[in-house]
Amino acid sequence: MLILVRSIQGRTTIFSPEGRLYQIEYAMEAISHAGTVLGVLAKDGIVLAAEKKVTGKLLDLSGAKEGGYGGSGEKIFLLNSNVIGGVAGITADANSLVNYARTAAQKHLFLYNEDIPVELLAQRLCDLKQGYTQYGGLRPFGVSLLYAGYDPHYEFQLYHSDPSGNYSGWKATCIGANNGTAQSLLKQEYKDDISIDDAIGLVLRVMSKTMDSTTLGSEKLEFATLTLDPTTKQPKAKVYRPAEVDALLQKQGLGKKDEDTEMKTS
Amino acid sequence: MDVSFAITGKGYVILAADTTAAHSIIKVKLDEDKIKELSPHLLMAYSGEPGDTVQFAEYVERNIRLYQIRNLYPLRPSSAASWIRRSLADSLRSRKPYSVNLLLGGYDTTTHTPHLYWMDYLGTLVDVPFAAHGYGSYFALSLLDRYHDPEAPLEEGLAVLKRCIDEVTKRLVVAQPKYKVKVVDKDGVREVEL
Repeated sequence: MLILVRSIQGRTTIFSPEGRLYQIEYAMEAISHAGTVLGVLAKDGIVLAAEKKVTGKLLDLSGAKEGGYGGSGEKIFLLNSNVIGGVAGITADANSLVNYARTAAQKHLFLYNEDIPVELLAQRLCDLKQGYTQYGGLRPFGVSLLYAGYDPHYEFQLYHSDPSGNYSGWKATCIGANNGTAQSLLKQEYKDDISIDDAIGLVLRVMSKTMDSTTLGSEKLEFATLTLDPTTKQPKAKVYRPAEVDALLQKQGLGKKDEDTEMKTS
Repeated sequence: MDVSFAITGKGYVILAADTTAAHSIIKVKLDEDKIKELSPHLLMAYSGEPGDTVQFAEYVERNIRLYQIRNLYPLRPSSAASWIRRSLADSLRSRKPYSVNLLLGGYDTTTHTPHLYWMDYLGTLVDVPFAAHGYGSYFALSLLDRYHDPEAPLEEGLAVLKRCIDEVTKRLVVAQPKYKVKVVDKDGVREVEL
C-alpha cells in the first residue's frame, strides 16, 4: 500500500487519494524556506522589498552597481517598463519564469503596441504554471511571484501567483520565509490611502522585523518602487542599486550605525 | 466603388459608409451595413475586395470580442488599431493577402479622447482627425481640409459630413444615394440619420 502511494506521488499529474496535488504542495514548501519578498500598494505607487539569501564577501556584485535598467537582481526583476516582479523559491526556476514573463510582455507590445496590462501578465505566467501541473509529467515551478505594476485601466496593482497557477490581487502581501509574521504585521499597520513614502517606511520596518540579520543593508536587501511620472503620466519602475538602498536606509534611520563600520575597520 | 468617410470632433467620431453591394453592373443590395461594431466604444468601416472585406472584418470583430471577454476590459482604440494593423501586415506577407481598407473610430475610455485611424491593405496605419477611402476621398478630403473643426459639437460634425456626402453624390459618376452613419462617443455606439 505504501509503495503504491509513493509511485502515485511521483507523477505531478496525479491526484492523491485524498484529492490533493502533492507536488504542488511540496513546491510551496520549498518556497517557504526562500528569502522573503514583501509588496505594499500605495495610492500613488507600489513598493517591493526582498531579502537576499545568496550573500558573502566573495560574491562579485560589480555588475549590479550600474546595471542596464537596474533590471536583474537575485529577487527583484524588471519584467516590463510598467511591471516589476519579485520572486521567492528555486532561483533557477524563477529565472526561467522571469524570462518567460519578459517575452510575454514584449509579445503583447508587438501585437497591441501597448504595455501589457498587469493582470494579463500574471495570467500568462499562471497559465504556464498550471500547464506544468497537468501536462507533460514535469514537476511544477517552485516559485511564487509578486507582480507590482501599473496600467491605465486599473492603475496601480499588486498580484501574487503560486506554483499551482493561481493568482490574486492584494493591497499588501508577503511570500517566502516568515510570511505569516510579515502578513500579520502588514494587516495591523496597513491603511487604504497610504502614501508611497509611508509605504516605504512600512515595508522597511516589517522587513527589519522578519529578516534574519539585526540591521538592514544593501548586501541583504533588494528594493524597488513603481510610481507614475507626474508630467508624462507614464509608469516609472525603479529597481534600487546597492548604493541607493543604503542611502534610503540611512534616510529612514534604519541603516548601519557609524560605530559598526568603525569597529570593522579597526 | 465603396465610399467611406470619418471625422472626429469634441468627444466623438462619426463614421459613414455607402450601403450598396454591387456585382459587376448590378446593385445586388441597397442597404448593406459596412460599419462593424467591434466593441462598446469601437467602430470599423471596411471597403475593398468583396468577400475579403466581410471575412477580414468578422475575423477582427470576433478577435476583439474574444479579448474583451477573456480580459476584464476591452482593448483601447490605439491597441486595437495596432493589432488590426499587425494582422494586415502579416496577411500581406502570406500567399494571398486580404485586400481590405479600413477606417477605425473609437473612444478611449481611459483618456476620454476620440481617435480615428486610417488603415489600408498594406498595413499602413495613421492616426488622423478625418479620413476617407475610395473615389469619394478625392472630393471629401479637400472639403474636410477646409471645413473640419476638431472641437466642433456633434451637430456641426454631422453637417460637415453631409457636405461631403452631397458633393460625392453630385459629382461622382457611380455615386451612391444612401449612407449608413454611426457615431461613437463616451456613451458608446449609435446609428444616426442625416
